[in-house]
Amino acid sequence: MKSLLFTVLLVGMALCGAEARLNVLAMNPLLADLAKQVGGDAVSVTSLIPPGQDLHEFSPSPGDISQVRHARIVFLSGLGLEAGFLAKLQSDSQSGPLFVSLGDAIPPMASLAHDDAHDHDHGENAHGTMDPHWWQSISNVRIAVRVIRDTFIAADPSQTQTFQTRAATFDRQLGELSRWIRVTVAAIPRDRRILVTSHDAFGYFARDYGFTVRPVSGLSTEDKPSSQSVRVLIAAIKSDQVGAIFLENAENPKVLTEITRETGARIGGTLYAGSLGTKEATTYEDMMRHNVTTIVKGLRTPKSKQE
Amino acid sequence: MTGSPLLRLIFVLAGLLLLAIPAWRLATRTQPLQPDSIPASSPASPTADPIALTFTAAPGPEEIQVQISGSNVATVRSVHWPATVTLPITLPAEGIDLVISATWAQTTEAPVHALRIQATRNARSLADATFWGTDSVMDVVTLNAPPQP
Repeated sequence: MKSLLFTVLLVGMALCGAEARLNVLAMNPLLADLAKQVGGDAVSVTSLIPPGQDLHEFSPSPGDISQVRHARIVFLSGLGLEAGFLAKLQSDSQSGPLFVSLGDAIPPMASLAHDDAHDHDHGENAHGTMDPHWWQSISNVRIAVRVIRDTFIAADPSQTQTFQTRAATFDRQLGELSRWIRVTVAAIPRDRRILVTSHDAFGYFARDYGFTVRPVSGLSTEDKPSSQSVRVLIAAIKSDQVGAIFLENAENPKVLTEITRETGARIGGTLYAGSLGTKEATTYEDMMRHNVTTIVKGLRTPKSKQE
Repeated sequence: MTGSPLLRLIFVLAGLLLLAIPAWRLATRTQPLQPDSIPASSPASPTADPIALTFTAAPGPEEIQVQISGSNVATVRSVHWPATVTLPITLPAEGIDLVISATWAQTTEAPVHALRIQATRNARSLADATFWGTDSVMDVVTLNAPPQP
């Protein structure tokens, strides 16, 4: 009897502890990881979009709406990424959660590769020419971490010390990650820093580390490249003597594979543009390290010296 | 010539006027200036002007290494600081990343070390960066080619 009472007390205490944690919903696994890094045990974080799924093709189900309704805080990526369904999420949530768009705090950048002459077929998730993939820049993520920290503190002031300490620790880790990327990328001569990828998701990364981006399609994976734009890209790849081009984890590799046949460039590996992986790149830091390692390995050797 | 003198005057003046127009054009026409023959500008050939790297630190590190694209181009072991090393490298239009790594002896009492790197070419500053670390630092200094005149 005493052991049963003790067990009931323990379960009760655990439940109370769980309820005391902020219930946080992040639109995608990457944002969820940032929220977990800052919130630790003081928050309970769930990602609406599962790992490995294309962010641009997501459409919320009734079950997703229910999750949103029960959350205390919902972190959005912003910069138009959720434009196709945000209104529905917010209207169905009624007076529920606080929606925080992390992209609103980020100085946006126009697509480096956007060309109005290209024949784009923008899908439902069109977001103009502003690049929504802000997380590809560590300096942007450091801004987002501060927003997450302040949001958590406002929602649960009793955990202020926890949130501040964890945010500061994560910020130092991000600073060290940025330094590591600079040093690692320096192995590629600047005239070989040309990044050919499926869609235009690496603009912020290119800006920070001196790359030129040559995406097959535009800012959204739903953009369909025209045959003309593919021919232009193939010519540019040949002219620049690009040795390697890169697939993306949530993308159909068909077009890029065809481009490798036309240009002689090889597939340098798979990059994570916005969705974390299930077996690798399961955190933001892992994703960035994976991407940089893959890029450096692919571009370090000039095409003329490749086997 | 018979007729009114006034009429004759008018005819003469008209004739002179007709002659004056082409004469005036001849006198005032400016030949377009022929530009000096400008030779086709040759691509800016990379210069071999050396780049001077000046390292300032207190206390000074045991060793500093400078790498470009994974290859070591300079090693500095000095007892006098600031120390300067000269790199006879060309600076391409895209610029160059120098990876600077430095290590301090374990015996130094300073909790944090700072290393300043100043890069100049022909007395013109290319970069000025300071890196901080405990017993070592490794970071990148980017040298951008100055804009072409």
